[in-house]
Amino acid sequence: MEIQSKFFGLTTVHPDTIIDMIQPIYGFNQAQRYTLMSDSSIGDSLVWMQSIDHQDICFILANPQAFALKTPSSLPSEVLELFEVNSLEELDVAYIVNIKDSLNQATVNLKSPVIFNPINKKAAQIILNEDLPLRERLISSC
Amino acid sequence: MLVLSRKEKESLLIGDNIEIIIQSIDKDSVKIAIVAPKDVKIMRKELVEQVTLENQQAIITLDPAALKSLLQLEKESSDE
Repeated sequence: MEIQSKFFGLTTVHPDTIIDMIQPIYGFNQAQRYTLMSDSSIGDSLVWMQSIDHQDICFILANPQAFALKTPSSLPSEVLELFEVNSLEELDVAYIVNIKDSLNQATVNLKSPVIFNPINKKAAQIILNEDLPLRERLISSC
Repeated sequence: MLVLSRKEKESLLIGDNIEIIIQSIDKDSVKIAIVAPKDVKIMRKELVEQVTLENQQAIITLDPAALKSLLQLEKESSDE
């Protein structure tokens, strides 16, 4: 299928790559399906999560490994059940990035990661019980 | 909206399998115990509102070209 994306123009999306939200991104209940897009010169450290049905809804996600960000050491059992997996290792974690006008000012929301099951392409934004910041610097000052 | 009065240790039933128990009442806060099936999401409302606000701000985001030039700028300044 072809979709009109916010930044990448008209884009072909293979049905197998469509991400289906089992719990919506908070505040964006109307966007149920997304696709991940990347820019070859930027690489996979930052990806755009583009809504299939709403062109204007597009988030930037950070790959925690690329920015040495902490990832949850465990998830509540009901979250694992929601994803129909036995362990956290079967899931991918990404953080929504909030970029103002410089990357040094950019923050990530560690409290509520977007979690993906790479096998069945289900995803959800989960609010973790741990005391974690909603605004952690993407790039640490050290 | 239904408004009910409850005393300490009294409870409410919602549907067949949710119970809300008023555990204790202080001057300006109440301690509430909730018994509910695992798939019922229970959240502090202000936390959901904060996450929603954070998401709404995050959507005002950069296009790849702008991000690329930012990355370039950062790289140049760190190379100096």
